[in-house]
Amino acid sequence: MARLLVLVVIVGLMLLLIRGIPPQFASAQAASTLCFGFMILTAYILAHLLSRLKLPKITGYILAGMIFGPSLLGLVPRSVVLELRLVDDLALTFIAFAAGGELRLGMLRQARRSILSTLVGIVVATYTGVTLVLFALGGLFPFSAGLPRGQMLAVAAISGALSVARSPSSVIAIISETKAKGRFTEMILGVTVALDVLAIFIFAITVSVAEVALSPGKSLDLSFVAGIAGEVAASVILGLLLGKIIATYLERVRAQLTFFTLGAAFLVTKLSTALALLLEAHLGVQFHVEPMLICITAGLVVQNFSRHGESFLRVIDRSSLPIYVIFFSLAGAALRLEVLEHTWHWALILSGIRAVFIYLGCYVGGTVGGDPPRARRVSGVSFLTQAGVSLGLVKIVINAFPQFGVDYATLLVAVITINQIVGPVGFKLALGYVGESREARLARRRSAGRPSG
Amino acid sequence: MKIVAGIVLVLIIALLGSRVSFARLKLPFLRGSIFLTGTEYLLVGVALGPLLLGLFDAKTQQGLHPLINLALGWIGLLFGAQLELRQLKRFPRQYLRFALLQALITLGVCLAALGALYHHLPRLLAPLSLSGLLTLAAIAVPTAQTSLALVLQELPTVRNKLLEILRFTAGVDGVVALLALGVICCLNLLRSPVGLEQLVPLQYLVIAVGLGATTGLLLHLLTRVRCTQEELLLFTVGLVVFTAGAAAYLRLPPLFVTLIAGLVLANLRGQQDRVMLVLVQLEKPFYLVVLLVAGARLAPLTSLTSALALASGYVVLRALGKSLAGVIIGRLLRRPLQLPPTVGLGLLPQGGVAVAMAMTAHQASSGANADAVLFIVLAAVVASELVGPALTRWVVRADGSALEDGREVTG
Repeated sequence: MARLLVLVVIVGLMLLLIRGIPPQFASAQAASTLCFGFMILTAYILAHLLSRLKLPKITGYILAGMIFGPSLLGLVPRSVVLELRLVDDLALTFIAFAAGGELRLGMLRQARRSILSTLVGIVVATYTGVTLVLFALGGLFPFSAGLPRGQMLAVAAISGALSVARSPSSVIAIISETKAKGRFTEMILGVTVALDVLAIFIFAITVSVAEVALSPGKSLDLSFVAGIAGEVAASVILGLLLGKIIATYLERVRAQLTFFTLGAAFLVTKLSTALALLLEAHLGVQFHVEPMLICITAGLVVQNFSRHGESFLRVIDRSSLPIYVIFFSLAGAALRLEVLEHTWHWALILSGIRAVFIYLGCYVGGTVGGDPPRARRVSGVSFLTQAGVSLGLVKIVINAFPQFGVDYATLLVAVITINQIVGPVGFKLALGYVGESREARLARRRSAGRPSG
Repeated sequence: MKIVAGIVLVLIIALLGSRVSFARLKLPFLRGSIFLTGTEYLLVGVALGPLLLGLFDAKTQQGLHPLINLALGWIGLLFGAQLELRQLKRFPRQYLRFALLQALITLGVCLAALGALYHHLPRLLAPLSLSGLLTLAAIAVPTAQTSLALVLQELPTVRNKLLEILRFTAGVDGVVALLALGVICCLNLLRSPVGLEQLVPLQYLVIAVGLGATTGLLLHLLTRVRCTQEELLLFTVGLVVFTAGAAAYLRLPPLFVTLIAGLVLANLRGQQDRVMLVLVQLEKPFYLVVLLVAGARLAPLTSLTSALALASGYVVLRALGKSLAGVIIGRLLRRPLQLPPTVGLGLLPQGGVAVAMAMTAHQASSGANADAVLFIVLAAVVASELVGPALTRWVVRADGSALEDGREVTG
């Protein structure tokens, strides 16, 4: 009750300030500071209140961003959301540390068959399934109706490639919130991290082929695949180095661990951008290392090749709350809900098609991999979430294929929006169902008559 | 990119420095005081600023505004949260009377002297304006708690009522200073021309107090029920950022608004002890951020000689005000306290709160007046940290009622 009152008062204060004070009175920096504090408090309180309905906290953070952001109440203007992107990048790399730190090679080895078969199942089923269905029903969708067959296939294939991408940040946030542990959790995490890399390859190849199909004079050039492979390899190598540095710091210094980790995450983001700019400026080469992959690798090294894996995770866990609150509330605020106004029904259909094939792919993959029936039943709903990576890929589509128009991109964004809201709920339910969330483990102990501590 | 690099550099220095400063270092006379209280970070800031290395140029400093507002908000909340009336009532009433009277007399002496000089010899005080002088008078009041704590560390076996009074005063006189600063800001004297013209200064003051009280109450409501350490940190950080942001949005001093919030929080029954622990955890890094950026904000002055003369005059005036306050109160409260006439000299160290107040004033306005106020205060802080602790030690030892290990000592 107290927290609800606080939420109401803070929103009221914010309304008074934003609507009551002339914009020229306040500086941009003051507005950013105010909105930042506002988002932290309201997102957390709203998530706490919604958690009583068993919704994951990150759903609450995203909803807070949507409600108070520029699309609905407008208490946090879009200019401020863009300004706070610095925090976004920092949070993402920090979350990537957590993802890497949760990957225990021992458990991954045990689950390798399940991981591999589920991975193949998802990729094959989602990519081909979504592509074929959209191609077959292409005449019904507004963005592809009237297109020649070749173009329709290209549009369908791009949609299929985008369907493969998902959000490691949401997965790790849910695992952190539910304190999930076990084989199913490791499998989901392993597949998600692998998909993060694979999705980029699949997308890049599909876009290149689509470009050739849609521009007859253009010839197929897949040399960029080597470039991407090089970028991935470089990211992994840098991640190994960073992991070693972090492990050494944990061994020798062990001071201000939270700030050290945040600082490391920040430096990775900034140095990656600086390196790309430097290489382009001086060597004319486009070479982008991936900060998320660097940090995932670093986290994995610390967890599996040093004595400080668990203490590293504890440091991250202690500081993760404000990071998740800021990151996901800003993600919610950045969503353009106006896109759903005219496209929500098509977006729902596309989301549904994607969900069906993900489920099928996971079920078949899980069966081949020898997963228990309980896990097979719910693994599909654990892979629905999409977020920042997918939105980044949509931007590439818009730039590469302006002829498809804004409507297609709008629809893709609408699909990602729906998945970003629905996905975390599905994953949390799945973790509870297989008994690997903390709540489920405690309930099992209680029913077995064992002490829950 | 430069702004981002600036923020990172400030945070790294502040975090590393918070582990080194305030520590026991055996350093030669005078220099020890500087390095023990973190004042060297003022000098580091000067080195990084436009006067020397130029790493923190004007644009970078503009980008540091949110971080400074957060730091000032944190310091204000911490200061206010220490003032729990129930705790204060445990001390003899004369202590409180001494602390408040000392603050008011110092403020009065400085206001009178500076006001008279401004009226009769305004050119002598150029480029200071009336608002700048009022700010300087307010900043003359607080006493540095850190320096007194260090003196106490050096005199561990001396149990001395005078030292107790000095420590109590250092913890309390800053409130008078911050309240005075709040009033000055709300008097529209520091405000830039674009304001909410339909409001009068008293209404600004009411808004500032109302905002602070509301956010203090909100923090109390959030932390009243048992919450995890992570939640506590989130609520505290979130509320400080929100309050500082709201204050800055209304062009009110964040330091003042969060002081009010802290006062309210301290005096409501809840988990303020746990909140205090959270605030204290990040106190040092935030103080160092303020010191660094204050040093970096020092702008080249038209006449360094004139600025140094003004700073020297200010130091002398402040010492005079403190001494006079000590003498007057010593006579007024002679019977219960038996204070030496030199007690005011024991309150000379100025320290972090003064710098925070100067930064607050500097954030609120720009120009030669604001730069002059900042320069004078920083120079005065360095000077007071050089000689203040030694004077405090001398005052305490010279006090005829000093007891050491239960035995009376003289000199």
